[in-house]
Amino acid sequence: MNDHDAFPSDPHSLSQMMDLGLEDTDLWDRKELGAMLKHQLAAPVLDDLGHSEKHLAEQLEAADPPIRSFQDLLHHTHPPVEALDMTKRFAKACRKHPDSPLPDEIATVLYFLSIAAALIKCGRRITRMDDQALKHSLEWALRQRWVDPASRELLREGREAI
Amino acid sequence: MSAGKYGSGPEAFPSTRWSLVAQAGLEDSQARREALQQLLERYVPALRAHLVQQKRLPAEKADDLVQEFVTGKILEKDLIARADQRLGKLRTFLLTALDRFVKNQLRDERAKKRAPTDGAILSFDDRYGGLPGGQQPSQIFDVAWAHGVIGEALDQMRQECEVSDRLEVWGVFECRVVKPILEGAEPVDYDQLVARFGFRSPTQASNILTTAKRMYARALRAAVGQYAESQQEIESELRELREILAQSGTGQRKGRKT
Repeated sequence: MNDHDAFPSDPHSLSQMMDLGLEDTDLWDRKELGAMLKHQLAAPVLDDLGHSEKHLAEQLEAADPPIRSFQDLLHHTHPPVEALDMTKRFAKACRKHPDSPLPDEIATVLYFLSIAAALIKCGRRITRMDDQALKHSLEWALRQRWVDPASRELLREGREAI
Repeated sequence: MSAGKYGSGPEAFPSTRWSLVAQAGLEDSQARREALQQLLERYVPALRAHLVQQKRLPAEKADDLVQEFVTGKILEKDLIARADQRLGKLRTFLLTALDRFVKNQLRDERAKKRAPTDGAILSFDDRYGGLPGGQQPSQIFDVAWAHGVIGEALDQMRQECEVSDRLEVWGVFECRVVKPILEGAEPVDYDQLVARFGFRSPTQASNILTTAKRMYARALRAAVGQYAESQQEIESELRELREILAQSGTGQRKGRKT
């Protein structure tokens, strides 16, 4: 005989379980965005970008010090601009793709962090956004309270460099 | 059959849609009996709940009647095989057949006793009044049936994760979705999830959770697919169960993020 008393039978709980099989629901709570950004920045660059550029591993290893994580890349004194551009494109793809595993907010902040880093550390503009639009976007990122202090500083410097 | 936390299910997770009820139409009587027994075990509590909560029969009497119905009527007399044109509505068919069976049984008992009619027996057909929350007559049965479907889906999913050595998928689903919804537990937060399962990035963590939800959705359809004939009927049954659950009165609490 089955163990049918193992979970409750209230229609509300059952309804939620039934909905899971019929609808897409958000994966993460909004309050978890800070933890997710921190984790994304600590993630190995090659895990997310390694498949798109065969020379990326060599570029990251050749940097001094070598770059492992997105945080290493964004806060490096001389990051490879190609890697920053790939990060921007990865983030953009995540924003556009309906099944993207990254929450839109995380992808958007990563997108503008890569643009700000390229602007400040490489003197390169890797976006076609005009000054006003870019400034407006960086200010949006700065308003996100869950963004960590180091990323916030990078965004602020980027805004001032425009 | 192995007992699981959320009930028991078939040993193997079906890779394609299959139907125990269709198997019930096989010539091999032993296979038919086993297939049906497996299916009915999952839904016996729904039949029992209908008799106890809705028809107000004593629990022991309900147990006896359900047992007799399943063994004598369904398994021995091939009731489902003879009614195969109605298999798309097995849930409704079983409920109607059970009511008819119980009514006849109670009438026969009265006749044997040659006793004046007993109130509880006389009013069997009319005892629809006083249901909680304005529920429809079959709602208790349908909610219990939905409970069986969800239990079957959870068991199938857990078994699939075990067989394919993807216990992290079940682990994430359980602590993030199942326990919060069914047990009122706090969802394990993102940081704890990463620490517990060693995810290297949000992409990996999200992919696992997405995979888990899709696996559950598939298991839910497989559970209904054991008694519905086509994909269209499966979707229709899921929608119907969902509407029944939504209308069942107690579903007014605010949902939790999953």
